[in-house]
Amino acid sequence: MRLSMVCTLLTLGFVVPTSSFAAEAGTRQRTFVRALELFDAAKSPQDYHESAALLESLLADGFRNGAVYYNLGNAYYRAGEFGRAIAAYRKAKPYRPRDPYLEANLRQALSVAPGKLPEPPPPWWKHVLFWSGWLSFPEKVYGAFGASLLAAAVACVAFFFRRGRAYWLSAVLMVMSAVLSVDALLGYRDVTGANHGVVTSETIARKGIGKDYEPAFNQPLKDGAEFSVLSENGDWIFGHFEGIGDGWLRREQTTL
Amino acid sequence: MRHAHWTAIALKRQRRSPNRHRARRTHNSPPWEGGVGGVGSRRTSSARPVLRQPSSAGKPFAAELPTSDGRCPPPHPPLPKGGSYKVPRLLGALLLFLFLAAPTHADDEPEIAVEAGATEIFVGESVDYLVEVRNVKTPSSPDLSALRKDFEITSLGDESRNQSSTFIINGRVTQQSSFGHVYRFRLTPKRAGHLIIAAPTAKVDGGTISGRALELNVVAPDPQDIVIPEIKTSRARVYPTQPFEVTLRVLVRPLPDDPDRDPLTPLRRRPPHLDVKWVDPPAGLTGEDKGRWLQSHLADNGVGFTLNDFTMRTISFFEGPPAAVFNLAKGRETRNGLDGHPVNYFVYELQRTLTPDKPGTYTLGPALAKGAFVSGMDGNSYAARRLVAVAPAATVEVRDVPSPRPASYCGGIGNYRVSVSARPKELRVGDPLTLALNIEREKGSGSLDQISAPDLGANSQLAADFEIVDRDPTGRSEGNVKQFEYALRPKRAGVSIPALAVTVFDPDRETFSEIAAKPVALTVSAGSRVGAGDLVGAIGGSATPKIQSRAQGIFQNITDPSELSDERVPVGVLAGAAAGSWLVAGCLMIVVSTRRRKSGDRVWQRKRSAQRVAERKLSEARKELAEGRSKEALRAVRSALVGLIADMRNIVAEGLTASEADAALKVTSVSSGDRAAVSRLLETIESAEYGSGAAAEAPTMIDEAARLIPSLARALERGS
Repeated sequence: MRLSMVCTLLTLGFVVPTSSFAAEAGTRQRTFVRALELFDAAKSPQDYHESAALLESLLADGFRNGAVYYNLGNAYYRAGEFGRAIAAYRKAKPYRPRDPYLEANLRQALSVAPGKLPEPPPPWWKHVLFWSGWLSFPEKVYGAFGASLLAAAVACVAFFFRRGRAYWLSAVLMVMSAVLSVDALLGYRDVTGANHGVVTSETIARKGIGKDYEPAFNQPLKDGAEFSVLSENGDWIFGHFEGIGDGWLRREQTTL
Repeated sequence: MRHAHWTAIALKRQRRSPNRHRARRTHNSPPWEGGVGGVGSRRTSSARPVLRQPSSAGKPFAAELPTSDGRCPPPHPPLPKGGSYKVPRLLGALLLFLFLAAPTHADDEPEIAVEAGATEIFVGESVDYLVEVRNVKTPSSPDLSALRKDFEITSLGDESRNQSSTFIINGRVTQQSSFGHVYRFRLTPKRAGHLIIAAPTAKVDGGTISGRALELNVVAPDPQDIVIPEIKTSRARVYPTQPFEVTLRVLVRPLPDDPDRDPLTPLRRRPPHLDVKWVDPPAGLTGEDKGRWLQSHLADNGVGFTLNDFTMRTISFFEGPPAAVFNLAKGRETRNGLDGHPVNYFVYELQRTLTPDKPGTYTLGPALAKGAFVSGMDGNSYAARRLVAVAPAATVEVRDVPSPRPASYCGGIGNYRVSVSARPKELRVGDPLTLALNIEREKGSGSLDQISAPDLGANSQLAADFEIVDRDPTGRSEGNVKQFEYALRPKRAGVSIPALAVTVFDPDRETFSEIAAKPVALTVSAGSRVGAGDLVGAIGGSATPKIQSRAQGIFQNITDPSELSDERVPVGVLAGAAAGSWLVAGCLMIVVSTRRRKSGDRVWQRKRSAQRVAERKLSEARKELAEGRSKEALRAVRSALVGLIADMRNIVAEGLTASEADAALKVTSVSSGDRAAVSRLLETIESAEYGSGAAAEAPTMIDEAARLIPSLARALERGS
C-alpha cells in the first residue's frame, strides 16, 4: 500500500510536469510555425503585424529565445516599424551573438530607420572583455557556473590529495568564472533591455515631465531613434540620445 | 580736490590693467598669446608708449642702424605727451592720499567727472574715456549722443564706487557715505584734427547735469611711400554663411642698398607693429580658430611684424613675455612711389576667412602699421623713420536671401552639386528603400548647417510612385557633403527614382537656381508574397560564421523549430548552486582539516581509542579465564578499567590504584553508582592479586566490567 502511494507520488511529481512542458513546447512550436506562415503569406503591413503579434505572444510569459526575437525583428521590419524591429534585433543579440544574419538585419534596420542617431562608442569594458560579443548571455552564465563548480571540485581534490598544481588550476578556473560572471552581469542589462529604448513613433522629447515643458531638441524624434535610459518617473522616461542630448519621453512612444 | 580724486581713479585703472592683460593671455594655447581688445588705448596708457609717441608722429628722425650685422639699436623713447599716465608715481600716491583723506560725501552736489586716456592719438587709434557720475546713489547711464558725430563709441562696462564709512569718536557715531559710478568707454575718432570730446550729460532727480568737454588731437599720418597698409576683402557683398576673405596688405619699400633683402630684417630687434581689429571678428562674423590661424604665421627668426598684443608664452623673472613676431611675407609688387618712380615693394599679407552669421554691414578696420622703418642711408648705416600708417577700413555688406523663396529652396547659398543614390535597387512593392540625397558644397559657398532636407513630396512624380515614410530626415554632414536619407516604399512595380532637384541661391547672379541629380533606375517587382526565391540565403540550425554578400532587404526568418528552446537563464538558481558548491567544498575541507589536525593530537587519539582498547583487554580477560588463568583474567579486567580511565583523563595508567581512579572519576560526570562499582571492582581485583579468594568471582567481575566500560566511556566523554 505504502509502496504504491510512493509510486503514485513519483508519477505525479515527474510525469505530469514533463507532459506539461511537452505540451507547452508543442504549443510554442505551433505558434512559431503559424507566425512563419503568416509572415510568408503576408500581403500588407497589417499581415506582418499579425505575425509579429503571434511571436510577441510567445514571449509574453517570460519565454526567451533568440530566434523568436530575430523573426520578430523581421516581421516588424516588413511592417515598417523600424524602431520595434531594431529593439527586437537588439534583444536577439545576447542570445545569438555570432549570427551574421542577425547583425546584417540589424544594420539594415538601422540604416533605413528615419530616426537613426549616431551610435554611442562601445563602453571601455567591451575592449577589455574582448570576447564579450562572441559569447551569448546563456553561454556566459553557464560558463561562469561550470567554471565555478569545476573550481570548487578541483579545490577539493587539491585539498584532499595535497596537489599543489591543482590549487593553481582551481584559481585559474575561479578567475575564469569571475570574469565570465562580470561579463554576464554587464550584459544582463542588454538581456532585460531595461536601459535601452527605441522610439517607435514620431514624438517630441521634453525638458521635463509633462507636455508643458519645452521641447528638448529642435526636431521631433522619429521611429528608430535609440536612447539609453537615465531614469524613469511613472509614464515618463528620461533618456540620453547619442549626439543630441537628453530629454523626457512618454513611455508609450518607446519600446520600454 | 576733484583733480585729486580723478587721478586716484586713473592710477587704480593702471594697476588693474596688467591683471586683465594676464588673465586674457592664459586663454590661448599656442606659444604666443593675447588678444586685440583695446589695442590703441591699452598701448596709449601703459603697454608700449614708445610705439605710439604723438610727439614723433609725422616727424621723421634718423637712427644709426649698422649695416654690418643687420641690427638696429633701439630708438630712444621720447616722453609721452598728455594724459594722466604721465603723472609721476610719487605725485599720484600723494594725490591718492588726498583723495582718500577727503572723500566726496553723499550730501555734495551731483556732478560728472570725465577723463580721457590721452590727449593726442593717430587716426585709427582709440582712446579710453571714463565718465564718473558722483554723489548720486543710483545714477542713469550718461548720454554720449553728442560725441557720436566725431567718434565711434564702444562701452567697456561700468562699476560702482559707492562707499560708506562709520566713525566712532568719544562715543559719538558719525556715518559718511560717498557715491560714485564709473562708466568706461572706448572712443575711436572718425576723422583727424583737433576734436572736442563733448561733455556727457546725465539725468539726476529730474534735472540734467553735465561734465566738461575734453580736447583730443587726432593726428593724420604724413604722406609717405615707405610703408603702405591697405585692407581688402574678396567680396564686397555676401550672403549669410557665405565665407569671404579679408586681407591686410602691408607694402614696405625695399632697402636702399640691397633691394632683394627683406626690409624687415634690420628691424629684428624692434619689429614694426600691426594693430588689426578684425583679428577678433566683429559680432555677426565668425572665423576659424584664432590660434590655429596665426600659428602658421609665427616667425621663427624674429623677422616680421608684431600683432596686436600677442606675446610669446615665455616665463622670465626680469621682463615680461616678448611680443610674438609673425612672418607675413607674401611676395613683391611694383607701384609708383610719391615721386612717380616705380618701386618694387615687399608685400606682407595677413588674410583671414570670415563667415557672416546674419545680414548687416560690417566694417573691418582700420588697421595701423607702426614702428621704425628704413627710410634711407646715413653713411654706412640705415636711416630709420618712425611711422604710423593707417589702412582705411573696408566694409562688407551681408544681404539676406531675397523673398519670396521657392518651395524647393534648401537654404544653400553658392554652388553645390547634388547626387542621389538608392539601396536596395531591386525590391518588391512595399519594401523599404533608402534614398540618400547628397548635397556637396563647393568652395566659397554657404555653410552646410543652413541646408535643410528638401521636401521630396514636392516632386509630383516621386510622390505618385513612392510612399515617403520620412519627409524631413535629419542631415549628416561629413566634410563638404551633407547627406539626407529618406525612407521610401514603392507603390507599384516598375517605378524608378526620377531626377530630383533642389533650389539654391546664386549670390553672384542673385537669383535662385535649380540643381538636379540624375535619376536612379530601380527594379521593383510586383511580388506581394514573400517567396522562397526572394530570400537571399537559407539559415540552418547553426549560424554560418562567414556572412554572405547580399543585395537587398533583410535576411529570411529562422524556420527550424529545434531552435525554439527556452533560453531563459535561471541566474539566481545557478548563483545559489555555485555558492552552495563552494559551501559544501568548504565544509568538507573544514571536516578534513579538523580530522587531520586531531590525528596529530595524542590526547585526542587516546580518548578516541580508549573504549576500544578497554573492550579488547576485556576480551583478553575472557580468553584468559577460559584457559583457566583467572588471575591473569582479573589483571586484564583491571587493566581495561584503569586504562579506560587513564586514557579518557589523559593520566598515566601504570600504578593507578583504586583510590586514585576513584579520585580521577570524582571530577567527571560519572554517576556515583558507577564510581562505586568501579572502585569496588578494582579493590576486589587488587585483593585477588594478593591471594584472596576473589578469583573465583572472575566471571562476574568480567561481566560487571563489560557493563561498566560503555557507561564510563560515555560519561567520561561528556564530562572530560
